[in-house]
Amino acid sequence: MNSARLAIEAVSFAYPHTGWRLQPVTLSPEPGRVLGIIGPNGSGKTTLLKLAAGIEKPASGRVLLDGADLHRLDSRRRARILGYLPQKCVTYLDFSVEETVALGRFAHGRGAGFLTREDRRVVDDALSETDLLAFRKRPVSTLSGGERKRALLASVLAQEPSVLLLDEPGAALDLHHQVRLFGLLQRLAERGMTVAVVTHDLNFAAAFTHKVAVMAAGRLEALGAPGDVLSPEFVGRVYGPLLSVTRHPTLGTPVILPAGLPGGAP
Amino acid sequence: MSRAMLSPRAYLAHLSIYAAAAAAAVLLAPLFGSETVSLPRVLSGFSALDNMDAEIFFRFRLPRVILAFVAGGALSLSGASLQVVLKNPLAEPFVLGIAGAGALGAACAMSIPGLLWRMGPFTTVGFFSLAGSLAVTGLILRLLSRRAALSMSTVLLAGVTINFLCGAAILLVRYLVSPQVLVAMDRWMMGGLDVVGFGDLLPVLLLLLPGVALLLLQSRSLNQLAFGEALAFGHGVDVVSVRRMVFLGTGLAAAAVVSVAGPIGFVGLIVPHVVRRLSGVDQRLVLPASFFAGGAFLIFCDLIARTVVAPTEMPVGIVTAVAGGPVFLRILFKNGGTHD
Repeated sequence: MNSARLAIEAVSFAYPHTGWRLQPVTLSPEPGRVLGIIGPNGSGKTTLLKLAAGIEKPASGRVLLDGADLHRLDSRRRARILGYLPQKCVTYLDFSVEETVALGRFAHGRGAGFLTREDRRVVDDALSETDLLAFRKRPVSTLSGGERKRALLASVLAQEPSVLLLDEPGAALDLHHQVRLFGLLQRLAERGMTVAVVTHDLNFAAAFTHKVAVMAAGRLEALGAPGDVLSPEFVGRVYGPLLSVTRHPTLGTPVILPAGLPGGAP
Repeated sequence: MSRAMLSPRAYLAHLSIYAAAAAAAVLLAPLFGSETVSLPRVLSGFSALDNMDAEIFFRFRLPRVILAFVAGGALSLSGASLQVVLKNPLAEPFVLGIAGAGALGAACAMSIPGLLWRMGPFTTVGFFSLAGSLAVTGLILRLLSRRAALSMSTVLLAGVTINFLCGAAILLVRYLVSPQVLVAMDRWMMGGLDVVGFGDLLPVLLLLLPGVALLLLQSRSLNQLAFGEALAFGHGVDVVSVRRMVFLGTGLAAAAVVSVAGPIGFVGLIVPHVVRRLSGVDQRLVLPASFFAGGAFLIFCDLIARTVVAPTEMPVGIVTAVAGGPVFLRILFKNGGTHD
């Protein structure tokens, strides 16, 4: 797998109708590493990922993909390098799971877009990686929320990107598949991929990412190894006082647990 | 429940069936009418002087059948494309206000004294209708180019509002004109496919064919909108361009149809749904199949329109609703009506 560099340079953004602003962020996810983007609700995680994916245009600053301005890249060329899984996807056309995964080959095909042997191999690999081989002929509408999310992740993997941006890919997954998901992300990173994942699960971010970028109120508040960043004081400052931070008994990574309910109820 | 991926072989097999049905409709429908003509006699000679069957077949019925085919095909293809882009199963080519504006244009042409004239295949009613429809298409394209992030719900609601405004303007025109003009307007609004000779087809084909081609070229990209625009963007689709091409293609095709045949409803709504039930949701197949199926369906409706009350004719718009409605309801409720 070829490595590609994504560079977010002093990127800012403002939503015109709400006045919410993302303050300038500079960030370069590293090839071969998994970057977790965490932070409270409304802190700017999804906005930052949308800017990095090219969905939104920055008010200032720029996003570079292998040195080229992301917004000047041909859309198919961009998709062969950068894969993006949005937070929400509503189903309008009820494709089968393998048809859904094959949609990810769009940027590699021409003409009518029928799959080549190589396309089929990539689709099979993506189905296997996401544990969906047994579901391949099922219409997506018959899947559970978590299975559907895995099918969409598989379609992004079928792009064979060098940079992977995922917005809450584990949100609808059971614990087993969340662990499998982060295992997959680590394997992809070991192959040279740049991976950035927005997640609300601080424990998964702490245990299975190489670095975390912590967003708070539209700012990049901290960037570093989870063990260095997620101190009790820092977590309390960003997330409020109702959390406690301990250490994982075997991994040694920070574990964030609820410390109680508001008002001190047990 | 399981479903196989569309292979080139399955694609060709499905499309061949739709194309064969459409070809059969085009060739057989001109044989029937107020007077039945014989195919061997039609093919025995092409001179109108000694072959009345050939005259009826080639001069009067075949151009009309071809118009029904391209009009029905274009409306169905437009409906199929718009239902995906607008993310709305109730979308059809006229939902954007194209028919309303076309009807207003035609009503104006009919109501202004001295404005009704014809030069070859070109008529002022057709021209004003076309102007109205294309003006709305231009307005939508302009909106999209100024606001790339415009939501499809906004476009849909804007189209519905334009339709209402045009409806109100038409009521005003109707209020002001004479009863004779009212009759002509009502007849136009019911839709009709009266053309004589291939020359009458020329104006409609000039706009309709580029529109159809534009829409067919979007089929692969439309598949990508299955899970919304953000995922399609991530997969490498230029979503803004696809939207623009679909609205332009629909505008050209629907404007052309309305200008010559009036607002023929229902075809653009139901045929794409029937095709999806029969052949799956892959737009690479759904779009051309809708074109063939829509064409065949409108030929069938026109055949009923000109035979059931022969020697007179029924407006084809009535037949499309009456013939298509029950079939559509049966398909909808075939599986208990639970399928989204």
